[in-house]
Amino acid sequence: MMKTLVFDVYGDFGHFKKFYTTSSPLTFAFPPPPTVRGMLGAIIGVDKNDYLDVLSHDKCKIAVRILSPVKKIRMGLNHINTKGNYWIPAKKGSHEARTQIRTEFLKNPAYRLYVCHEDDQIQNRFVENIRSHKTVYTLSLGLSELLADFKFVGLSEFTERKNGEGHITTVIPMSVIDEYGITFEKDKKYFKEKIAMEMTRDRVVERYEDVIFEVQGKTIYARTNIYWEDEKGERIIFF
Amino acid sequence: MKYLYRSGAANGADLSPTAKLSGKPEGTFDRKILGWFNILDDKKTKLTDAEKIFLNGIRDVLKENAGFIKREILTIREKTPKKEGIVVTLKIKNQDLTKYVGDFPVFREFLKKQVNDKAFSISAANKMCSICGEKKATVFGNLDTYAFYTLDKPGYITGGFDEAKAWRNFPVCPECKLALEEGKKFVESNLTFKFCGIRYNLIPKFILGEYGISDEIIDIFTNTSRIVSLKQKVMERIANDDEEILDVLKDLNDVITLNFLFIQKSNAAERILLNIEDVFPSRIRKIFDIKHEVDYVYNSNFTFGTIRNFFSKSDPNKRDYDLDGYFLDIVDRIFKDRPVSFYFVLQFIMKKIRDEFINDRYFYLSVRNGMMSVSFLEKLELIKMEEDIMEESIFDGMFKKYGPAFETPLKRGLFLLGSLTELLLRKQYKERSSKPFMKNLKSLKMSERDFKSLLPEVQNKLEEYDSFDKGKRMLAAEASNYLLQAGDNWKMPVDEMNFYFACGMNLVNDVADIIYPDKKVAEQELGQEEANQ
Repeated sequence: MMKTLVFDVYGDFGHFKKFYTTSSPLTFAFPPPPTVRGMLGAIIGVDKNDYLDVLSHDKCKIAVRILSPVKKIRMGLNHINTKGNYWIPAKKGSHEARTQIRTEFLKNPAYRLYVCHEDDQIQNRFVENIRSHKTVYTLSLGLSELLADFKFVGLSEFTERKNGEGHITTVIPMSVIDEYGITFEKDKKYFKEKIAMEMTRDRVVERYEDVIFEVQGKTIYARTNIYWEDEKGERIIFF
Repeated sequence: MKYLYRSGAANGADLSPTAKLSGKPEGTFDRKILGWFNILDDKKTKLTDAEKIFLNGIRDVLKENAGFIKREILTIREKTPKKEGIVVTLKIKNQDLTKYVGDFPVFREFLKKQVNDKAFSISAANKMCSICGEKKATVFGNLDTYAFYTLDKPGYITGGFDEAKAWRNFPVCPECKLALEEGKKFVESNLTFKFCGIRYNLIPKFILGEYGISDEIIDIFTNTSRIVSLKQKVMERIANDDEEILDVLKDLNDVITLNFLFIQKSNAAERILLNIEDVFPSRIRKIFDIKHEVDYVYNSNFTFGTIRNFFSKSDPNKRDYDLDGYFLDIVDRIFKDRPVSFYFVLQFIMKKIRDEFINDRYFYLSVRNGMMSVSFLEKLELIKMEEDIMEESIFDGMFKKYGPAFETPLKRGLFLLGSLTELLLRKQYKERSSKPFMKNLKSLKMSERDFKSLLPEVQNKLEEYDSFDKGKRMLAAEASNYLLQAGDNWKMPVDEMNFYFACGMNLVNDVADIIYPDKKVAEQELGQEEANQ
């Protein structure tokens, strides 16, 4: 049994940059686990150098559910042009002062996060802060400009179960799915993305994984070798 | 492999002593072939004594015979047709044995070293590769397969702007780097298409991997025709392919989606103009279905090019296509089933229509294209038309044919007024070979007040020409009736009012069929303008 905090985060815009794009940034459909850990760090105020350690994969379990259909739009962002490692505030030769980067954003993103930390003290700090709508650092959806709001949903007891089949509400790492264990249903749109799963405190990714999700936020019927179920029968997969 | 060619910097040598012959053949030899051996003068070059002797020997021979070689190159160049390219390489003969550059390990190793030199500048040992997901002895951090991943600005380096640690962002092992490069080549040579003149890569995505997917489907992605557009012939084939894919997928219990990657290349930079991700074949099929419907109604061939007409250049005199962004956004919305702003699209349609109208060029064609585009978007339910319950009218059948585009009294009134005006213009043209009344149409920028005063003006003029016959009276009465129903303060943008008016001008034939049941009379009234359409 795992006492799990369930809460929603949402905002007007979000951007979770795909790691393989720099000059034309594209966004993931949902925050990858290291990003979620960063958000959790902001909520209880863990230093940016420590959060990947304090909230590491083996200490803090997280699951992400997409609540609103994933919508992506593009906008131009005006950056200062630091090409060649320096910035000249005015145009000089071919060096423009600024550069416009067309960036992909998520519009009206909303996610339900499931968080379970092994340290009761930390877990309680999460619950307290979320309940009283407080954070230590400002919460944002990927970029500091994209502010996020959040809402306490509840505390649930999730039980770990092995080998089962059913509707799963969260995004699912491919590794837990049995071979051809997904039932593709009509009117559902399935997408797959490779994301960083585990990151060390010095920001080195230890594990990448393909994750499958339904883009409209609907459930996925899958046969998995592990899942977690609460008293209401909701099935989720922790990363 | 035996020539071991790989291009280097534009002004420097290539990565092996093999070069493509350029404008000045003799220069190519000096710069590229002999130039390659300059690495022998570089102190950083690490070579064994045997290798040094071997390479120096070749260089000496080449230098000694430079004059002869260059003359030979020139002779061969002159003898060969200009359009045929020539590659210059070394061939080393030792008695009966002939060897090429690629046969010597020293050239191969140098090439590999040069290729990976840049990559090695930002790399790490024993780290996880982000592509294969395995721990590898070396991972590179500055991949340049696609130029939309660059580290040329510190802001691109997440986690501290530290270039030396940039490998943490996107670590790729040498094997995956090679696979990526090969993949890019494959996509560029097989899966690159043009969409209304804009290049894109079509990248299929198999949700559960390739396993179990028949070769037939893989084949579809390598042998599809080069131009993906909604042109009839190609379309049918794509539609068929589409069905095949779905059919097979159904049995395979697998899912395929399509990514359309529009990349703009400018010099060395590559920017993602648009990445339409995960389009289901069924959506493409729906787009084709709607295209068919539009084709049927307008008896024409609707393609994305029809929309492109309005979204290419903001000014026809401009050199560059500056509306690509808008066009691609509309394409994105069509593929992803997201709403389109009617007024936004209309603004560009009217701009083009006015331009053609003022310059007396392809006005009718533009109006038709505009109507087809609006109809296409409307049928895809991307724009929503206002609809009112309408009184019965003799024109009902005609309006119904065009869907909900004309389902309010005001739209119908403007449309019929447009037709009536067109009949007057044709009459004028028939009588005096010019259309002086056109100036009353204010370059199609008429306001509510203009339209209200236009009807009596048109009627008057028709009287003057003694042409206000029964049919036209009926048309004027209907137009007036609808405009009266619309009341005052129309609350419709000028662009939209003029659009419906232009539609009426364009579809005057449909109207004439109704008001003149006698075909001969209709033809006479329409005059020779018909031939211009």
